[in-house]
Amino acid sequence: MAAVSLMAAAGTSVTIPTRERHLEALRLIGIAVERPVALEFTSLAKYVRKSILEMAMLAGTCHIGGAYSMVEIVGSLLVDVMERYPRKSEVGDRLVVSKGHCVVALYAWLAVLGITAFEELSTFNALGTALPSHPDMRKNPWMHFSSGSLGQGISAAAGMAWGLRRSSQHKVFVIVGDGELQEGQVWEALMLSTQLNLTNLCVIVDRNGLQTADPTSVVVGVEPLTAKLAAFGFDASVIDGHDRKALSMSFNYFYRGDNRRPVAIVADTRKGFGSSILEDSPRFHGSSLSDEDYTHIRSDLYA
Amino acid sequence: MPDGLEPRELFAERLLDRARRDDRLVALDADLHHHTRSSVIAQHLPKAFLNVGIAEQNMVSFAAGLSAVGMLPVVFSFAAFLTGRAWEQLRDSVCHTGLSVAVVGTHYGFTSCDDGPTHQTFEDVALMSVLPLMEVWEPIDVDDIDLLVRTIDVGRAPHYIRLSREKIVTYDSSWRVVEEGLRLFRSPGRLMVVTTGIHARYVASILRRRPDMGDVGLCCITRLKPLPLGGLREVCTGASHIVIISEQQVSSGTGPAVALALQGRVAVSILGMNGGFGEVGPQDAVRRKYGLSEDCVEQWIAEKLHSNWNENSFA
Repeated sequence: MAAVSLMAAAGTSVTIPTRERHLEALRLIGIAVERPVALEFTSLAKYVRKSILEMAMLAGTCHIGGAYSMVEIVGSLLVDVMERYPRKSEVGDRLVVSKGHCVVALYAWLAVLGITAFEELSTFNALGTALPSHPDMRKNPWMHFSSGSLGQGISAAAGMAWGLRRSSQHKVFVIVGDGELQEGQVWEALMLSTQLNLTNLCVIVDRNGLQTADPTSVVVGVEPLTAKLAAFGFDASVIDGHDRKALSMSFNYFYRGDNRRPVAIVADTRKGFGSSILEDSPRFHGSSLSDEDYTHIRSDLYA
Repeated sequence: MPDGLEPRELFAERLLDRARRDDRLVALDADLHHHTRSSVIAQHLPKAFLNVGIAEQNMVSFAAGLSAVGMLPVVFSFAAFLTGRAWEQLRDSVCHTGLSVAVVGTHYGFTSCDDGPTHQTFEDVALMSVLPLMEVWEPIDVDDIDLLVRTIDVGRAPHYIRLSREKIVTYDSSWRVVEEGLRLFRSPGRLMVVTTGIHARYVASILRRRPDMGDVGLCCITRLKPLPLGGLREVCTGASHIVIISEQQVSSGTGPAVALALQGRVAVSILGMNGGFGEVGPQDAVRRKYGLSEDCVEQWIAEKLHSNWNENSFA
């Protein structure tokens, strides 16, 4: 097993196995966030990114770039908007992470906020875990839908919205990636949502401009995106996806029910936001991080 | 062949009855409701019906979303489109999530010959059977249809139902229920015919007018997956040759599944579509051309009855 030598306070060399190092780092984050109510949003978001980093190292692989781009989006929903975040079996709002490969961001937020057990984060993508790389609602009671194969989440969210509208005032959020919009089913779902006027449905596009290996614009461009969403009948807007205030204002406009059509929010983000080595780099779509990468990212997050 | 009821008509009527009493039930169709007969619900209980437009993939994932919030969705379309185009959505949005969605496919195989091969699927049973958790049904009796409608519920496994537009469903006391998913018409002598769907009716008709086939047994599987293994083995005991007749590709689906279930003790022959596509034309003529009409089946059974199976050679 790989090991790391550290210079301890007494000046002696200590060798710690790599896995233990990351478990310890995660444990320390867990202690730091024990009282999340007292922590400011920016600090919470930073702890979320730190947690994701350790989870990525423990699991060996992670879609860290796309997870980092949606940290503020998920955080704002949970902290500023949703009355509470329910289990899938409970009555309440719904959050579908259609870009399921980045669900690690939701796992980390739920743990940092104390909704789920923080120590469970160390099991990310391990055999038998409730926290697999893509959400599995059969394994995790906090996941409102399973995803992984892109393009299905808006359809499911629309179904939830239509079903909920008959019986409650609850809202449905769905987060999609911009590359994901290349899937045709997405547009089927948008058309039906408009036809049914699902005003309790909010589609959030995490527009980080990158997909698996290349910029979205180079592969199959989705622009002009806001115009397309508006043309498909949505109340569409663009905001800075890392600006908590902007996110909160837009989400709460929808949550209050001020909208007359289904809402689409294009959140401009940066893949890997929060670390200079990760930001806008296609290298970190879904790969392993070297020790060198880890050290660099860690120094950014702990600066 | 005796007159009967169209499964698609009866299913829609029964579903409407249930929907009147249970407002969680919703029928969804991809703009084929007049053909699948989900129009019955659209007409009489519009609040329990939704035409999602020509968008089967969206329909299936949408239905999964409905199920996730406690509704009871039943999706309808032509079997070819539902099980083909929306296969991955059935896999991921429905089976992988474990959400309860009833999936109704009509116009399969030669039950429809007006629209040709793109509409005539012989692969639907195989495509659905290979999905984890998905049950597969092909009802032939009113009681089968009643059971299927009655058991739609939260937590019930996702299930695919083949519904014909041919009049094959009857109240026929000749068919004894052996266990859920299996009906027995006659116990076998040397030869046992295992059927699904319309071929159950064909073979029953043949056996009724062919006293020389008194040694031929007949059963019908209505729950194609999971196979009613115990009952199937029980009713086939004593037969040395099993012939399986189904409106499916012979290489996949019910034929090989039954052969596997009964392996080692019997010879097996499978009659169905031999790896090809369907064709347009008058239904009887098309069935005859592909060897699946009642007279072709009669001839095939007669051949098998008089064939000599040598256990030291491949059939």
